[in-house]
Amino acid sequence: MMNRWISPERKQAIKDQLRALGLALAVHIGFVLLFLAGTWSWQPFEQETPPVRVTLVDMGPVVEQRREDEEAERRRQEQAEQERAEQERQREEEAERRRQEQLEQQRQEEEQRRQQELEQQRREEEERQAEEQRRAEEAERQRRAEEERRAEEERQRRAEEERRAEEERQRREEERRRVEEERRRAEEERERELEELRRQREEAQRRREEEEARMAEIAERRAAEEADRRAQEEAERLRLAEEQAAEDARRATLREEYESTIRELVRRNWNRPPTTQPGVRCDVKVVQIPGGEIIDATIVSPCNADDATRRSITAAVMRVGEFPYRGYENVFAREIVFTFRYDG
Amino acid sequence: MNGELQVWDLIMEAGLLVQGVMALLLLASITSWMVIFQKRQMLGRAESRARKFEEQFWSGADLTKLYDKVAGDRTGREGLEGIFESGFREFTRLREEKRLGADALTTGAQRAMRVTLTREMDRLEHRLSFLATVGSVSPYVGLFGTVWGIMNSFRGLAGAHQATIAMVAPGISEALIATAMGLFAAIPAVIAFNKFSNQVERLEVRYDNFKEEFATILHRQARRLEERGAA
Repeated sequence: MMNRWISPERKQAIKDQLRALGLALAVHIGFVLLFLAGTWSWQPFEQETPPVRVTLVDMGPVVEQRREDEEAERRRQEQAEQERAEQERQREEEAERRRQEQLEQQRQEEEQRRQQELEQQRREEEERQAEEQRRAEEAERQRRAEEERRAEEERQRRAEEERRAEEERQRREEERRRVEEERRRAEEERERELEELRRQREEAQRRREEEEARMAEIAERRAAEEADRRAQEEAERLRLAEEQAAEDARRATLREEYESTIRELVRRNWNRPPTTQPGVRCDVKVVQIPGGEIIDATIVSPCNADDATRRSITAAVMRVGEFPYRGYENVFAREIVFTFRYDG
Repeated sequence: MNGELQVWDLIMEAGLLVQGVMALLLLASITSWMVIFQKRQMLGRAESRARKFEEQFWSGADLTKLYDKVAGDRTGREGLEGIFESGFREFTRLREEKRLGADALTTGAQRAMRVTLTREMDRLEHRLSFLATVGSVSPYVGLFGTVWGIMNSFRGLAGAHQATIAMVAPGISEALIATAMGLFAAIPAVIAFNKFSNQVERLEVRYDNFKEEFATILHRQARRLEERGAA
């Protein structure tokens, strides 16, 4: 019934929560089980005490009997005690006697041993003296042998030294000769090197001179060529300038012709208003497209005419409608300005 | 068998207050584990959805189509999809009013997205504070139970003529169970809290980046519309 007002999201959330709760409980149960497994071997806290058995009995006659027995026992013990004391005393005397005898015997043995030890010591002393004597003789002999050996060595050493001195002398001689030889060779070497150097220097000098000569020749040739080229260029430039001038002149005449044609065309199409005074000079700017069709015409200063005349001029230009194009391609311009004249 | 009974008996024979503390800790532990599982599922889902949606979004699909798809899906309007949906809806609604400029359009969309982002962060962080509380408080609660139990067992000792360790040992042992339970509840809670808050932070950065990038795209779109309108 509740599902009717619970949205799916809410239901999902509740489901998630229940799932989480289940997992959490599972984790705890798992931990509790682990814990129990861990404490399996715990010892119980109470120690088991051995049971005590108690029996009740009547004690009267037993006590009486026990006292008599104790009396008899005590007497018997006393007697035995006395006998034991007697025996003890006899045993002690016997022991004393035996100890005395033992002591005597020990003393005698001690004496004898000391005698023997003294004897032994004396013998050892003698032996030691003999040994020392022998050792001293031995040492003496060795010393002498040593001295002889040392003298021998000394002799040998001296002979060796002499031989070495001789060798040294020879070696020095040899060295001196070698040095001499070396110096001589170095001298020759230097001579040769100097010679070589001089030769090289001369060679270089010669080559440099040749090179310089060649360079001078080349420079000369190049200068000549340069002069030549410059002269040619000059001539070319002059020719071009002349051509340009001719072209300019042609263009100027063409342009003049073009303008005068335009002026004539406009004049022909012009309806002169009555107010116009002679001596009109007006600059007219015309915008045209390739082919000569006129797009726009305006009066630009300087212009000394009145408004009616100005209007009539632009009207005249528009009436022309198309300027000449063929033959004037070279002087054609998108915007041209010409001066309109009227002198009566 | 004997050992098991011993532990169980220790718990059952504990003082009323110590038993209450133990029950409280058990409850806290179960609840925190519940929260842990819920959050784990939720954050995992949010991350995988964000990844999928970003792939979809950057694959160059038509935004209008994407919007229709997201708006049609009733169950999943959370995370990046929610932000995208609110931003785009606001953008289209503002675009109906022709007078608004590109900046105004983008600002409106951005504001809508910011609201959704805040709501989303609230949803993700929900109940994380519970984990933090359990993590920090339950050791103290357990310690309280222990101290109380030990106090009682020493008070009992005061009346005895011949005091032995055997007289107080069971009491102390039963009291220490409370501390153990407190730690048992606290440790997973602290670990989970750290893990989850880190995860939430990363998600937030991701959402924020997406929001900014989407706003840039919307701004570009608005500028284009404006120019077309002017031409």
